[in-house]
Amino acid sequence: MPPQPKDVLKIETVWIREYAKTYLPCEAGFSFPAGRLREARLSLLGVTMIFRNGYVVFADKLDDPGAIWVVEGSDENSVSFQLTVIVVTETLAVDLVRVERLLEENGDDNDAA
Amino acid sequence: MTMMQHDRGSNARVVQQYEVDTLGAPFKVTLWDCVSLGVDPKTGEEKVHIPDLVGLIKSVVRARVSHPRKLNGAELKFVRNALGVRANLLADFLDMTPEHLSRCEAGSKVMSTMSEKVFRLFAFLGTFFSDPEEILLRSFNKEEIDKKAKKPNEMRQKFAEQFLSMKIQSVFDAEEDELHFHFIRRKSKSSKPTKRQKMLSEDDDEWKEPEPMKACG
Repeated sequence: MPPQPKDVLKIETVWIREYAKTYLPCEAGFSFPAGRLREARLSLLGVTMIFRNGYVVFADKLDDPGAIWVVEGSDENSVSFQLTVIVVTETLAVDLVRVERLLEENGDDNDAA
Repeated sequence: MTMMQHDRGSNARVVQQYEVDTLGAPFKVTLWDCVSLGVDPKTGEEKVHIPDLVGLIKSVVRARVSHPRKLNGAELKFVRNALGVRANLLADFLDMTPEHLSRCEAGSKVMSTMSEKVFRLFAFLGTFFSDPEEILLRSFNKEEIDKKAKKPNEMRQKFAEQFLSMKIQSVFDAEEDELHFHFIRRKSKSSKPTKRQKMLSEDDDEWKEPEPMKACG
C-alpha cells in the first residue's frame, strides 16, 4: 500500500470508501470508459479496491450537479493509480472519467490515461 | 438540452447482454438487460454504466464459491481481493502460513480440500458483510451476525443449501469447460421498496443468476 498522500480530503475519502463497501439499492451506479480501463490494465475490482483503500486528494464543485474528485490508491496488484471521478452524492452516481498510472519506483512510467 | 458532465448521454441504450471483461475475474461474467452503453459527449469514448458494482462483485464471489469446481490460484486471489481481506489475516484464519497462501494464489501449490471448504464458507458469509475482514478480527455471536449481515435470512438459507452437500470437483477439462456466469438484475416481487428505493429507482439490489443459465462449464 502506498504512503498516505500529504493533502487528503477526509470527508470525501470517507464517502468514497463507504461507497465502495456498500450495496447500492438504486440504478445510479458506476459509469466507466471500458477502453481506458483496458489500456491502463486496471480492472473494476481494482477500481473498487482503490476507492476502498485510497485517498481523495483533490475535489472541486462543478457548475453542473456533482463534484470532480481525484482519488489515489493501489489496485489488487499493488500498482498505484490516480482516478478522476465525477461524483453526485445525492444520487450516489459515480462516473470514472480518467485513469492514470502513477510513476513507479523502478522507473516504469506507463501512463495509460 | 444541455448535456451534463456526468450524463450518460441521450444515446445511452441498455444492451441485452454485456460480457464484463474488465471485471478482473478469471472467468467469464455476462450481465443481461442491465448494462447501458453510451458515448461521452466530451471525449467521444464509449461509456459503460453498471448498476451496483459492489453488489455485482459480491454476487460473482457467491456464484463462484457456490460452484463445485476447485478454485485455482487466480480465483483464490480474486475472491480474497473482492472481499478486501488481507492475505496474512486469511492465512491465519485458514491455519496456514502467509507464504503457503501466497503460493496457492500464485498456482505453485494447491490448497487442500478442507482449507478450500473453509475458505468458501468464509467467502460466502463475507459477501453479506460490508467489511468481511471484521469476521476474522473478532468473534461474533448469532445476534451480532444478524445485526451486521445485510440479509441474515437469505444468508442462513443459502449457506445451508450451498455447502452441506457440496463436493469439490477436482477433475475437469479446463480448456473445454470454461466457467461462465450470467447475472440479471431484477426486482424481487416479495419485498416492499424502501422510501429511498422509491425515490431513486424501481431497482431493489438483487443480482441473480437466471435459472436456465446457472454456471455453465
